[in-house]
Amino acid sequence: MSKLNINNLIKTPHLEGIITQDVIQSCIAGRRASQELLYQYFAPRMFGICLRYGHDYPTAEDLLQEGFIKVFNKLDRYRYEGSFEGWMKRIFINTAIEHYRKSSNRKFFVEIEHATELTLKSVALDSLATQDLLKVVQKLPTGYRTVFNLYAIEGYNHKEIGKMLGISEGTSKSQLARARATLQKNIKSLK
Amino acid sequence: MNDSNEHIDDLFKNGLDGIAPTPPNSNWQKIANQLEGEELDAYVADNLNKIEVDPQPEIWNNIKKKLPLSLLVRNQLNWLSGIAAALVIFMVAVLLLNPKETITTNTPIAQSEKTTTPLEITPLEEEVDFVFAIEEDKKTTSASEELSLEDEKTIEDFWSFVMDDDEDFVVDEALIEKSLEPILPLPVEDSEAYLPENLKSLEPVYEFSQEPIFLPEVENFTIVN
Repeated sequence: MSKLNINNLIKTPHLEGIITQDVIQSCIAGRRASQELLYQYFAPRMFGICLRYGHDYPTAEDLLQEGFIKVFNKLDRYRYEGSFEGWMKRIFINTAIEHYRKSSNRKFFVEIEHATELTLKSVALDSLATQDLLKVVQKLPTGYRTVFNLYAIEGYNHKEIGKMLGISEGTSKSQLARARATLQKNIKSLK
Repeated sequence: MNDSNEHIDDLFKNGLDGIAPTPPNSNWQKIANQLEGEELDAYVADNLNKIEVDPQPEIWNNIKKKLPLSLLVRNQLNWLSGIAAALVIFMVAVLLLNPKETITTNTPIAQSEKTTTPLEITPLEEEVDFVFAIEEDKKTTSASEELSLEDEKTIEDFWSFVMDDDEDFVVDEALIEKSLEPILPLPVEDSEAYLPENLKSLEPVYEFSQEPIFLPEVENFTIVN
């Protein structure tokens, strides 16, 4: 691992690859400058995740704040195994899941063991802007959106999603199918 | 045996080789849905997986207010508080496992004793020997501890003994009244009248060669188990 001087790093906060073990150790020691450096570097990416999981901008901001506080409080548990960004991402996803577990009390997850077969009609996706796509995802009901994010974007399987959300595998499948159908419907209405 | 097996194999091979049943349409629909769904997933993932949005600057200020000073210090404090908690638990466990040591001894609630301490003041040798005897009622009271069941029983026995009507016991009311009369101070002018005859002619000198001796308080009590 390359050794970099913290003081030099802080002068150039927006360079790629600056988050080293030294910076993390400095954050653990409580140096505000290093903590801000870490925040400035990762905040845009993590805010993107929060926007996908939150249904609106203020909720995403809350998730970002809550997630970063968790990151700084648990930083000493990071064992430098795997990517640091992946570790942070996992914390933000868990924060989003916890948030919706508390707020929605799982009312959005309707227990359906057998997913209803929903016919998906082909929609031209090429011309859709990222911002529009984000809005379409945000409009999804919380349960649909959470399962869709976990399955389609994060790459978890239904068994893992069921475990994470405390729902059955079948419910996860049905939520995904409905999420896809709703997405297609909403995308169609945008065009 | 081998010939017959080969014969069966050939039979199945010839019978099933060219089979081509038409699958139901619903099967294709499922596959198409899956492909369509996966296509949609991939499209959304490609577009939204790497999005970066700058949050409002106030967010960092809010986060800053809630951050711990140092995880290292916090961990040290946690470690110390853990040791303190373990010590407390250990002490409580020791106290709970040895209850006999914690029970208070059967100390009487209050013990009062009359101790008579004569205080002697020796006058000058050439003067008349006066001995003043001062009786001091000293009440020594032990602090009342928490009452155990045995203590309460002892008190009950005592009161039952006190309240018990004893026909042989005669109350001398006159003696009680006399004891309740206030003790009048001896008038200085008439003090000579109480002196023996051979001492009346002597001039009393009220100077003392030494300071009056005050004997130390006597705490003479016993603990009855």
